[in-house]
Amino acid sequence: MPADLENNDDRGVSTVFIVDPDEAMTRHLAELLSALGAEVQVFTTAAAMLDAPGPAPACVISELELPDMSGIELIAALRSRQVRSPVILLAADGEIATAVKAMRAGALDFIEKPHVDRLLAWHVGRLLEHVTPGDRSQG
Amino acid sequence: MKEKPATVFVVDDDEAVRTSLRLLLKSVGLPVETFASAQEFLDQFDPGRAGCLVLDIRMPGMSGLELQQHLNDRHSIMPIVFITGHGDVPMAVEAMQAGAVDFIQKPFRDQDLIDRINRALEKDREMRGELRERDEIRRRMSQLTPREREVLELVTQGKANKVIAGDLNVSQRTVEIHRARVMEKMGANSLAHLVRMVIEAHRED
Repeated sequence: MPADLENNDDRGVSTVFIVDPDEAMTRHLAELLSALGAEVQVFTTAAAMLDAPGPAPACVISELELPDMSGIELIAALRSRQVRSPVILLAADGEIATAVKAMRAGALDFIEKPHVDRLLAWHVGRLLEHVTPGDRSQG
Repeated sequence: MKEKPATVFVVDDDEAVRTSLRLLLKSVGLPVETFASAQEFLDQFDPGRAGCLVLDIRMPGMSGLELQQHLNDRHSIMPIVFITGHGDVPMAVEAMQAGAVDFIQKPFRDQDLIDRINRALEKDREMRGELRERDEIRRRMSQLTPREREVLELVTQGKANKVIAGDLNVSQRTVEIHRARVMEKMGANSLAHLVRMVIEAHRED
């Protein structure tokens, strides 16, 4: 087994993983979150993210429908590798039943596209503030 | 005193819904109590009773989400299954984030609701079992002498008897005796078991 995502406390301080095959979306999110001080890494498939070397990220933001698995399966895959990073799922057509399933699977949040910016910024701001207190970007 | 059986508490302002749920749940042998408002439920709420809550999210007066908040404030562990006529995703997510075990949209199939209620009751049983176990571990810990508690603390930090003897300024033999007493009083069959119990005892309720 490859020593990919490691579970350690010294985890990716301000790293945020974005998993979404939609390039326009990832470019937009990367800009948004970089402005908050996040070191963003973009992946287009779950497999690519799961194989990423280095410590676990501060947060994973994933589209619900990935080419190789669902975002809910991605949560299970991370947890089975002992990676505890919070996962936020984004969905184009959010259904209540799916949202409930995602939350039961342990998602931190389930946000309907396209209006994801405000909530994502809030979550990531909070998560990063937790690791680097007093380093919150203003405005 | 005999504990009351696990009960399904239904809170819905619609009398027709309350009646049909009462009949449905009775038909599968589940004890049911119904309430016409969140306040009515809260007024008689007893955290010691086993069961689950089937809660309408939108009601005049206190909403289902507000009732959930009140119960959380009281450290209730009763699992909540929300039912809603016209919910949306953010509402469902909020309810789940606040600890609901499920959220189901009307109209639903009877069996679907029963399955979810059974799952909630199972969760309630598990959590009550854990709480009982934790209480028992704490009871046992409270019976340790101050010296035994010190030894317990050091042993579960992974320290060897020799090191503990040095720390407490006693003989190694004395540590061994205390350690054996701790294991016995705690009912631990191994060091790993003892460590698990200590972690459990320190967990917040």
